[in-house]
Amino acid sequence: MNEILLGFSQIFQPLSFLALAFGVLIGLIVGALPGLNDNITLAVLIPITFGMEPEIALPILVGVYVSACYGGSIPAILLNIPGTASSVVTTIDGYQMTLKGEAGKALGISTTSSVFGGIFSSLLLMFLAPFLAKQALRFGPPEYFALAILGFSTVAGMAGKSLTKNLLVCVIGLIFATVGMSPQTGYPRFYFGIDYLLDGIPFIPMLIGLFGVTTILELSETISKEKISKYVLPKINKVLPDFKMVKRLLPTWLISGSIGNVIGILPGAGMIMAIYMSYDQAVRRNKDKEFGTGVPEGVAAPEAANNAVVASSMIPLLSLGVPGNSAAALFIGALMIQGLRPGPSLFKDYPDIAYMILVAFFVGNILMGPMGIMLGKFLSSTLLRVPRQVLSGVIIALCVTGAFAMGNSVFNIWVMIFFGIIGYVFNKLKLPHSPLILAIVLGPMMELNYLQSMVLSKGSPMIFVTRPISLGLLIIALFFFATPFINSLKDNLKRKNSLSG
Amino acid sequence: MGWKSNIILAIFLICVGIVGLFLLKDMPEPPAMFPEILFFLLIFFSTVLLISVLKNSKDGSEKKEINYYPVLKITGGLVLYTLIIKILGYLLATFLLVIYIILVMGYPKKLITVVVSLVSVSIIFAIFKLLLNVPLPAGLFLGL
Repeated sequence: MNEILLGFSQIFQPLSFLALAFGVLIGLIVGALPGLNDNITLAVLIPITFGMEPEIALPILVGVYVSACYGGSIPAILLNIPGTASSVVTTIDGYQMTLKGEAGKALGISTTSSVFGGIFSSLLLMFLAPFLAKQALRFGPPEYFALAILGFSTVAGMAGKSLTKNLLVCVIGLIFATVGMSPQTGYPRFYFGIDYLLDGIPFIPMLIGLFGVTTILELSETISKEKISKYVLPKINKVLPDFKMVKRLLPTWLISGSIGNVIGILPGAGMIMAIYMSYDQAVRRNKDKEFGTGVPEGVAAPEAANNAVVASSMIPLLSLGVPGNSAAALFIGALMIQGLRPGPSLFKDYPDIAYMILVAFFVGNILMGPMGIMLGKFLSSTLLRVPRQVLSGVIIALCVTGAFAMGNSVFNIWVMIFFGIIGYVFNKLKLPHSPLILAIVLGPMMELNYLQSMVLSKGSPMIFVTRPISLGLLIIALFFFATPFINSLKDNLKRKNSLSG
Repeated sequence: MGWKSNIILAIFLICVGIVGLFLLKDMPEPPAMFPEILFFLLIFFSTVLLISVLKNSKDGSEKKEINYYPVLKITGGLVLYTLIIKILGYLLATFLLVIYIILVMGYPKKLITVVVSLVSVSIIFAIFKLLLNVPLPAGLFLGL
């Protein structure tokens, strides 16, 4: 409890607080801009935060992450243009409400739902992360190895139909992770005579490539033919929902928030899954209402869910060092350049920073509501006039400069271009990105801890199943690995039944 | 993207796996063990993908026209930029890159393009060079 108070006292330092508010503002802006999202913004901001104190750098990044997906809901509701992928579902009922003349009501619902979902998950983050981290301090190499396996298993479990592709991407990521000096022995692997690669593929230029450059390449396909059109904003009336509405939406918030939290904690699942699942739940529970015609629950469900994913995706990262999604992986980069290592030791060695991050999520969510209501209309009307063509040029400039700055070398720009192309090709082949990043992060951790475990056990792999925590983690991993197979078996059985019936 | 691209992907990755295993020939055991497993897995999953694509070759083969020109132009621009940044210097090279990207994206107004490029590159230069002390390449001519 004391530590949480310490976090509060840190975030309410004037500079940290201003940084957080600034981050929330940036998040709202990039969220509302179609084509930009939290990942690309974090990727280009991380190099800029390099020279700042962590007390200022990290609140900015937290602010961006907290508010970007809420920002995306504003044009989704007002103009039927989802600002980010996380607000795709919000357009279904949100824009219908606008057409009915209820734009203000819809914005109010999206705001309160987002704040509710966000606070819900930041409370979970605040109490669960330190607890998990404390448990994780007892982890030895076998437990960390098992944890890495668990990380991969959730990716497999979430794969749906494209299990082979997801696993393939994991393996590709793991192969990328072997570039550079091998753990323990320091033997140089796959560096092709390029000294820059001895420390491994530079992480941040790679992320800038995967998020920044890939986005621009994707955009260029369609945008060069697109006409620049003007949007007409609807009138916005009363914004905040009344008590009756809050009471009506509360069950939806709780259910969607819980879905978001669970999905956020699982690595590899992601926001898109959360919004569809929670919308689906809302439809099932409200059979009397016609969704798609402007039902308040249709806005509340995805908005509560996507903001619940935000803070909870930081739980595995901060407590165990395993990123839950791409944004969390970007935070690894942000912490690393500050000389901090995410994971259990962060709470022990730098409690002020660790708890400040937790509290920043909480405070950021509270700031987001009023800032969004005040700026929502203004942002949508001005931002959508900024041509995306022009924005692309500025983003590319930020990308190349940021990549260069991460090691003061032109080689990093090559890495950025390479991964920009990889990301683009992945999109074309429908290969998912997040397992790639997860694998690149988990690869070295897995290999090092495997080797250390073998030293501990004098070469016997039994060490992974004789230690209770490691065994437990492996059993959960097995369950996740088995899920897609069980599901496809079930489908097959159903199909057979329906064919014979 | 139809099934053809998936077949090419699978075959390409199988080749990568074989080349990878070949590269590991001279590596001592502890550092070679992990990559070896990974290349075998790569070949295995690629084969699984290949078989499943061949089995379902008929569905999902609808073609969508993709406009690759701007993608190639942007990639080419970035490659050229990286090659000449040390010669032209950061400021000039990045200024030209931004103009180039905005034009490739199809923005018609030339004056705005130049102004945006000038302003954004100046701000980014100020942040990285003056605030963060990043030694951005100066170039051979202007000493910038």
